[in-house]
Amino acid sequence: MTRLPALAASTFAKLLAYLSCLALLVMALHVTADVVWRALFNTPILGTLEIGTHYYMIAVSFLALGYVQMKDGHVAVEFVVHSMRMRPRMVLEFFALLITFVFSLYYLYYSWVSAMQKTRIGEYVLVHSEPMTIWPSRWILVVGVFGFSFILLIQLFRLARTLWQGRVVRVAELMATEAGTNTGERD
Amino acid sequence: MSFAAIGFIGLFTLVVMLAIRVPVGIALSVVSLIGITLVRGPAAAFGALRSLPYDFAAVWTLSAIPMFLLAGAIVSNAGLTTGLFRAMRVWLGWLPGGVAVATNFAGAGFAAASGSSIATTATLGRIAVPEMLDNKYDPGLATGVASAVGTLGAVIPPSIIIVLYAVFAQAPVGQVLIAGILPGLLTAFCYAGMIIIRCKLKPELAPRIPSPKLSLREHLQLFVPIWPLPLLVLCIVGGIYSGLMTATEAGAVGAVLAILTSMLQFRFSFAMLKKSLFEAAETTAGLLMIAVGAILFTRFLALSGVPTALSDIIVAYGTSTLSIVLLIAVVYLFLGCFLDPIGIMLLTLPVLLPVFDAADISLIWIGILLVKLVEIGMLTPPVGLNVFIMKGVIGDRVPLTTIFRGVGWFLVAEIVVMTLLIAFPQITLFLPSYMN
Repeated sequence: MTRLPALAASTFAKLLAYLSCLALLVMALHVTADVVWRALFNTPILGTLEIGTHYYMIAVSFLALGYVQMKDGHVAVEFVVHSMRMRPRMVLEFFALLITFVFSLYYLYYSWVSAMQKTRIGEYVLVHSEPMTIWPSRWILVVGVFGFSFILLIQLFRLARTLWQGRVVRVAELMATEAGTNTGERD
Repeated sequence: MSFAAIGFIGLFTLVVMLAIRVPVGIALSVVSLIGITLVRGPAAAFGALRSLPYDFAAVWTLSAIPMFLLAGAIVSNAGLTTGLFRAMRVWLGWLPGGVAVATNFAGAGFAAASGSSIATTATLGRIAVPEMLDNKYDPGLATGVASAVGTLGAVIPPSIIIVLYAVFAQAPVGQVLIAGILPGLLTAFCYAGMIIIRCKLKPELAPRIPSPKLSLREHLQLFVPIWPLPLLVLCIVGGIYSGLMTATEAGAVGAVLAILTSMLQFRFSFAMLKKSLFEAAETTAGLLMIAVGAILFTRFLALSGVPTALSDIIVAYGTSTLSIVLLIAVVYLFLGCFLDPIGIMLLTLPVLLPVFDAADISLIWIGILLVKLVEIGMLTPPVGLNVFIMKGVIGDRVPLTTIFRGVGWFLVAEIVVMTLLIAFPQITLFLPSYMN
């Protein structure tokens, strides 16, 4: 039942992660080109710093959020739940996911509000007294957080269903397959 | 409700959320938003959420982090470090406890280049530790050195945690990075000294292994697979030290150089590049999540007035630098039982920075001490992440208690290092004092 939305969420998160990787690679090349240019011709490539901070950095910082969540890769304190049995552990993890999801909705809403506002005023920065538009980068943050919320929603739903059905699953496996069908682990 | 009560409830909520495995960054954000709402009202809280994450990430200094991560990921995924242990093994094997000393210096190089304590520990656990065990080295010594030396990557540049520290403390990032060099080397040499002395006094810890006599040509052949490493470190350190490049630029050039050298050594593949890019991007996203939480937490604490109250106390009682450092050491070792290094650092900086300011402590010097302290926390029970990584790699060959006991000797060496660093701030401040 959740197969289609789950597929959509994970495909979207993966796509964003690829974009974030692309931004990372282009950033390394762009900055290096700037250094080389400066050394050879004594002139920097205009706007490297501005594009770097407002586009590459925002993309690298926020686009992979959903992908990391999909793999349960956000840094968390493990040692309390580590020794717990699977079922009680899953109940706690459900609440952890719920808190994270609610926060992500606030995060999404206020990033959206901010992006709308900056779009309306046409936010820009000056590069050698020439304006460079930066409001589109505000939407990178919105898209990244949206990917994060989307994954969390599916994970929450699947974890709740697995709990209800009395099966066990780890958070990192929730997006991998149809939840809880092949973990083989019982408590 | 009084501010102290809000602070106390906030702290309690934070601990509960962390315990049920809410990610560190989210837990910090949630507590901060509720806290700011209670202190200043919801408009202030949501105003912070609207602007802080973007404004925090869109900073040039911070962009050194993904660049360093990418360079490190390429270096380790392309296998540019694999020859390091073999070369060190030949060059240092003649010393008492030679293979352990070789592991120590190879690990220091690996940790510096890859920037990952975990990757270093895991790699040494796979290559160096089995060789030492096969040669009847003491299991505690073999696993101890390989677990402890991974922590050096956090001090020797390029270091992720130092960039984060500099951003939060608003300290000059280039200078703090450079300041880590001598303390990092000092630690490596103290470790080596401790190994040599122990093995000299108790030769049965490390039976001597006859090392082959090599011609100059064979020595040069050992150098062939490892030359990119000194080049990379030199480029990054030299670029920053000379002021020719910012930390970000040095990282970017380092990443591109790593790609180019991997091509020259026929170790490049698109799969390797993709893996490295994903690793760096995932780690950056994860770190930024924590950092955004920490920046919100900083705002909350600042509004609650806790840090100013604390620094007022410090000033009023004329507390000495030494007692502040010792107090931090106790708190950090305690927090090290629950949290990862970056979490500890970002959680405590909002409280500590005004204190450093009030007590007139050098931000460069104390930064290096803080990084050393959180990394020591990676080695102490009950959590000691590096020790568990080692146990995971080595499996049943060595029990956990033996690894912890072996690491204990390196903690003794760390006490010597920390005493020296505290007593002689020049060790840390010498190199950056020549930068402008």
